[in-house]
Amino acid sequence: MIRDALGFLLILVFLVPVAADVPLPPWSWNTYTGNNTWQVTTVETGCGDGAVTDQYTVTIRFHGATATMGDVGHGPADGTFLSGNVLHIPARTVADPPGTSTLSAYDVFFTTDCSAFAAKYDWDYAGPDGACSGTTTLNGQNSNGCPASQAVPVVPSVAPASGSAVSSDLATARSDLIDDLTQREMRDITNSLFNAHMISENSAKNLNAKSDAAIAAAETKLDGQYQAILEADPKNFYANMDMAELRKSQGRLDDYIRYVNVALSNPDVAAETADAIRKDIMAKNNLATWPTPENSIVIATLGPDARTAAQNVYGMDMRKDATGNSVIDNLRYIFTWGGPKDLVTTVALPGGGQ
Amino acid sequence: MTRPGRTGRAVVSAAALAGIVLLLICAGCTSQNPAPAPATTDTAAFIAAANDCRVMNMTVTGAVGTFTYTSAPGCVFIKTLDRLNASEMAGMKTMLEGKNMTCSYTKGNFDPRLVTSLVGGMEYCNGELKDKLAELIVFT
Repeated sequence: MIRDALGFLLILVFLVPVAADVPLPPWSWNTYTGNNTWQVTTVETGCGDGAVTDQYTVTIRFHGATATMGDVGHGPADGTFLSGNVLHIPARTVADPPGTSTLSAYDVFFTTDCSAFAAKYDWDYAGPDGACSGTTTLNGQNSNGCPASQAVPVVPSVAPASGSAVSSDLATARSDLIDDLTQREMRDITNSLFNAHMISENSAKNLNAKSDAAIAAAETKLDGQYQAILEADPKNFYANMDMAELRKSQGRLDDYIRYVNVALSNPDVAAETADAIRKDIMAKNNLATWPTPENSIVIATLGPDARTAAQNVYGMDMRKDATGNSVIDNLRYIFTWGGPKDLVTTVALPGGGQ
Repeated sequence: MTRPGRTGRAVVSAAALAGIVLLLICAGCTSQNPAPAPATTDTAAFIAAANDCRVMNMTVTGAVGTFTYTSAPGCVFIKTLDRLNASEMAGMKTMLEGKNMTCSYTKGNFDPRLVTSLVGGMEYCNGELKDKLAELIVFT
């Protein structure tokens, strides 16, 4: 399955010219909420009928970290984004009268220019008329490009020197950061393809050289962009969290933690952020009751477990910076495991904006 | 799903016969339906298998609920929360049950905390279970 998925990714990498010389647009489907229409071609092989090709007009409903793939012949399917543009659909069994079909789990790989996706899964049919197995490939096309550009985040600033300028600069920097992280993701994918013996060493080197050049150029620029923002507003929550994400992606974990700590250094901002996360979780999951250690075994277990696990995260002892303020310390653990990128872009923004 | 039509079924039957013959001739050929992964209930055995990047499954029920752990080829580990304790509130069940995280590591460097704790070692993982557990720390 992994080889199949990587094979399709390989096709995307080589056939869709988004990773070559043109800077990637700053798009990640896992930060988008809305419906998007795709022309999907399915090719089904197996069960003795040769290849069967169908075409569908399908709506994919994006809900941030999750999405629902429309019906491509076997009903809609809910999935979860593994990363910005990789949607994981779990295995499931569907009614397929007069029998049932078991579909394997699969990943949907979206190109970062929003023009295409590809996926492939296996299935096993069993019913009173017999049993057989096969494979279905999905190729989606979207001629409308990406939906409207990602919205400008509303920046809660502790003491902004120039609020609107900082907000505008941060939106630009955030866009460039997401672009940079996408390049890093592409490099990881290339390495996965190479490790799975799907591409040659030369191909991997060529692709990585392009990614490395783009990353080097982007990150020099990003450092300047964020330094300018932080000079105007040193404790800006989002700028510090973005820098934390950048440093984390660079493997500079001490700096990563340092930026997280600065972001959380204002108890008021931390409290507001924690409250926003709590409300967001309650709303997204239809929780009628606020979970506490008293009414939830998960929460009762999670607190002590997280504090023990924090002794070694990326080889570092996260507890050494503990403040004793449970809100701030818990947020540090949340951002450490959840990652500033995911949480800042999907949870912690005031008003739920992006 | 396109099921075999009548003609297709005849072809399937012929193909099935041919397949049986081929299997007899070529025992050991790659199967389209690979055998299920070996399973264990021994945590130490599972950790050893995962550390060696061998395929293995383990399902464990504890105070929090039932987890399934999968050691997959290529040093990939999958942690799935199958069911929460029956007393857990419905919203928490909806949020967490059936969710998983996938973790990559290098041979010999499997973090045993991935099977002995809720969140330990998950910094190298991706998936909805990781994201949800991380967020829930805000309630602790």
